[in-house]
Amino acid sequence: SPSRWFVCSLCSSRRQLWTYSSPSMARTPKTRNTPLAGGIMKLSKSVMHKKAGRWHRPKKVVESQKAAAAPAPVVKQIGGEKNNGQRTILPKGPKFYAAEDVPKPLSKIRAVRPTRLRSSITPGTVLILLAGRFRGRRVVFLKQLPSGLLLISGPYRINGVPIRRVNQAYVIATSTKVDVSGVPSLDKFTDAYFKKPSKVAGKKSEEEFFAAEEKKKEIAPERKDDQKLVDESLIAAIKKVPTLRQYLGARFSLRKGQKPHEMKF
Amino acid sequence: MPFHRFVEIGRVALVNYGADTGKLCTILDVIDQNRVLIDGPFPVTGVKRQQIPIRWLALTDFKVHIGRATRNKALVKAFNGSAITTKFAQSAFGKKLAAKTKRAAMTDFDRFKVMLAKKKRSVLINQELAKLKKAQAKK
Repeated sequence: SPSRWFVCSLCSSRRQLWTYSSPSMARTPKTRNTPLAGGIMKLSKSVMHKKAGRWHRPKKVVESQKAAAAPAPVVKQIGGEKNNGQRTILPKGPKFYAAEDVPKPLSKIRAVRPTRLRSSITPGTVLILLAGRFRGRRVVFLKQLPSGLLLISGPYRINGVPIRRVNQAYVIATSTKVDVSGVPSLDKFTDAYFKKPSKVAGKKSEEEFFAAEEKKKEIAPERKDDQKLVDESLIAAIKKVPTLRQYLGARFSLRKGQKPHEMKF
Repeated sequence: MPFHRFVEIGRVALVNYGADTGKLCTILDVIDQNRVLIDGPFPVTGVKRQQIPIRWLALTDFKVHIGRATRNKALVKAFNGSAITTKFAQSAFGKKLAAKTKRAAMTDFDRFKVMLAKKKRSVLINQELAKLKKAQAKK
């Protein structure tokens, strides 16, 4: 396996080559070249070209590079005795030629995919929320949504945290796992399910503006049903582990002398 | 107060610094005032034969009966013969070390369980204390 540390053969100084959690994540290519010192390789580009057999590989033709087929000339039949019967009409060229070189825009090669999920976060992991309304609560991770946010549930009956979305960055993953094999299909929980309805911005009358906002947030009965559906199996699994229910009901906080970077979660 | 642990041939020490931190080793020879030659022995404790500053060592109560710079085979025989590993694990030093590593390896759930256990223990202690106080007050 490749060593994380590059040791300079001249001065014995060490440099960390990559900071991935596992060597397999570093996409080091298998090269038949050897590093000398300071990032300089033994064999040059042209030598490697021959050695790796790159001259031998067929060139990949990119679709965009293929010149657009020139439109075929149109052959039109025309009347008149002396008009040769037909005319070949060539396609007209562009009406505009740029005076200066038009800069080519940079290529946009970006695959849209959800945020890379930390390897410590798997379905059933107990997470500690660090920010937001439910900071300090220990919740159960269910799945990652296409937007990259994490779908979590308290469960609600244990700690008051409903089925919710949470950002991975504001979460500590503990090594405690809850058995989520009994949880029903979570397909109905998408980003659209949680998206807040957009407020229609309209002009408010004076009375409306000064009226006290006493609207109580009503939770749709479907949400409550979904919560019950998911939590039933979660709580059943939690009850099987002694003191896990109390653990999830308790809040996390740092005590005196505790250093998070030295703690194991 | 007399000293009981000496830097001498055969003294078992714990490496406190460097790559072999936390491992036991045997002092085989004294190089100078600051350095000694140690060996695990390697098959037993994982410490290779090397020189090491005395400052990097924490001496233990145990000693192995060997000659100066004993070779590997004889050293392993003497070390295992004296059952140093088990003796050290049973000693106060060894137990404290084990407790320390265990505490450091606690997960968040473990810490929670410890907290519950401590609470239970204090309840029991306070109950007993209350009984004793009551008995005392009656006298």
